[in-house]
Amino acid sequence: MPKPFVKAGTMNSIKVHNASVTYNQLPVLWDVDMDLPTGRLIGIVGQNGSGKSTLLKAIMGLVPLSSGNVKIFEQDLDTIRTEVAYVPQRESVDWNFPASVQEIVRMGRYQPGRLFQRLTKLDHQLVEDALKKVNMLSFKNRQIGELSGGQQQRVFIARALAQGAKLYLLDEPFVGVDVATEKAIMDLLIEMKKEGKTIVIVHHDLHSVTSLFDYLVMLNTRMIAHGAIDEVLTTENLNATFGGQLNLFAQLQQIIKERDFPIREKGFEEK
Amino acid sequence: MTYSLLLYILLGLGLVGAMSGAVGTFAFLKKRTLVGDAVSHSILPGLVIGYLLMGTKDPYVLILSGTIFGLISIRSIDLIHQKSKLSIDTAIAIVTTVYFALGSVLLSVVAKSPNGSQAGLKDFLFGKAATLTENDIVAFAIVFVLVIITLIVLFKPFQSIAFSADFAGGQGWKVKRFEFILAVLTSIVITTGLQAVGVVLMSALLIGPGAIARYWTNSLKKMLLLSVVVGAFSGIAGGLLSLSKDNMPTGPWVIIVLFTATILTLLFAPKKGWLAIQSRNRLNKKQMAEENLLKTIEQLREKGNNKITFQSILDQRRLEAAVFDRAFSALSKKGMVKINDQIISLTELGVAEAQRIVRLHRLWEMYLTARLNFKNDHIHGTAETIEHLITADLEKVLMEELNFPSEDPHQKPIPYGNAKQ
Repeated sequence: MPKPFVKAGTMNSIKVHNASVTYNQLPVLWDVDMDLPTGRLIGIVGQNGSGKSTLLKAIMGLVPLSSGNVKIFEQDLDTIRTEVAYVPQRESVDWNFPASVQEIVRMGRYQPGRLFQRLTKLDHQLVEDALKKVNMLSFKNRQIGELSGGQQQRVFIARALAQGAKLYLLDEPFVGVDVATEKAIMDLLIEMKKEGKTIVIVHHDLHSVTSLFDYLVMLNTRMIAHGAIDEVLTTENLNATFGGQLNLFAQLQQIIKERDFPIREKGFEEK
Repeated sequence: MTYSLLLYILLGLGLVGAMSGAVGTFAFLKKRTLVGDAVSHSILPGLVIGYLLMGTKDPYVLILSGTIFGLISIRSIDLIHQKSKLSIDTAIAIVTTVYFALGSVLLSVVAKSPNGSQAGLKDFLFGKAATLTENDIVAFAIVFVLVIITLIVLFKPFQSIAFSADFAGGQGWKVKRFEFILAVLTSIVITTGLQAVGVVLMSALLIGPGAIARYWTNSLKKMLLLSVVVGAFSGIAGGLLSLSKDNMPTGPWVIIVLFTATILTLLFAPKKGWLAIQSRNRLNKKQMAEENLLKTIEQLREKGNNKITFQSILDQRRLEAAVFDRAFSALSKKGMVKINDQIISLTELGVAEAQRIVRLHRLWEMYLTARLNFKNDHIHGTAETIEHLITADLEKVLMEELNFPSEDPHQKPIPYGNAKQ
């Protein structure tokens, strides 16, 4: 299969069209529509339960969409999978899993298309490089359960780096991380941006957004705003993002849940 | 029983134990330990129906019909959990008991049928290795090879998914598909194992070896291997014990062997075993006693006391006599303390070490007040612990961060000795 053609700066990295996701019938993402640029550091902000993590999972095809669709570099995710690296929340995995730092990062080189192949010299080199970039090479034989929170997060990022993707989606990478690690991760991400990579980060702390990101997605179950940070960071948008849900909207959300109603009628799923 | 048949049976039990250990490792890692129990109980109706339809105890028929019911039970658990608001435990409990009840009813029907007594299906409850035939053992061997090859070939996705389904799914692995394959393997292994150890105890054979192996290694590959060995050993040893007298069920003996291995593991495993924990505690206590003794002597020296005796040390700090004795002789062996005419003194090495402890204590008190906003009267207790824990690297950071203060918050001098270089 020839490698899909991806040129930085000329197209959307992620295009989400009217995506909705429901958990137990409750709409947690409702008709979210956005085009994200390439080569930027993009933050997704919103309060707890605003659907930030769900949006990342929806983009990665990890939760089923009740409506809408997602394109990555203007293609279906499955045709371009190797160009996308996803870093789930650190708490989402079992850190008692029997594996060393190196083994976790090596998993970043496993690809469904190469199921029967052994890892090559190049793979091992990329694993080594990724560990070096996050400053964890000297820990490569360490048991993952023995690491600090910041070190665990760096291992996660190394695993994504080892994939050698062009688009990185990170879910709350700064939670439970020490100050030094936060700075190290941020420097690394800025470096990656300079190389033309696109980085999308789910972030819960509003304080640091202006210093971290140059592009912002503001989410509160529905899309509030997305765009260059100085354009969208208005009082009005902040209130809509971090204020409570609009009453009418919340009530409809609840009715859909109670009546177990589909969020789209048949034939309108893609619309 | 002929010798060759005995060998065959032991081989069969070893194979069952080994494949359970291999597949069970993943069930254990995915924390789906109860699912094995549900599946083994739910397979019972499958076995009886297979027997009723085909009228034979042919192992291949039973493995097929049992596996189908195993998969149905897993699907039932997921459906009940997803479609109702019941928790996963409740769903498992429902499936386990309902299918087992169904199996028991069917079993009683078979028992009433003319050739019911020969059917020997009752042995599925506790397993009876003595009734295994050569044909059964060959079937076990085929299943074993199948399971091991699948696990080797699909190791990458199984490992990735067991670590994090989200991570693996994000990389494009079809998580549902591989989970289904694992469910098929689990069902096949349980169905096969039932014929040897029985419904009730099969789940222990599935989870036990993996749980034991986890204590001994931190590598998934080694864990799988060890789990296979433990499973095989339990099968063979349990089999030998059960065959030593007539009419003994196999399953309970296999589980008793496995349980013994679990106890030994809990006692002797590295790091997490009881013995390792004890020795760690002992070392900690020893270190604390020695360092506290040195520190106490240093505190007396600071007060200008140059006739330090056992009594003056005990007056300064209460120490248990036995602890005191042991710490003192350990320190003299290390060449840190000397005793001459009942007067105790520190050697040069002893002074450096004693000052290190005092320094760490006082530096930590400084850090607590200067950086963490603790009040002066709330810092001594924690410093008593932390002084034993600060490594040379952390000490350096601490000194630099505080810029080498000369006094602690109680205006006591912080001794640096050679530490500033």
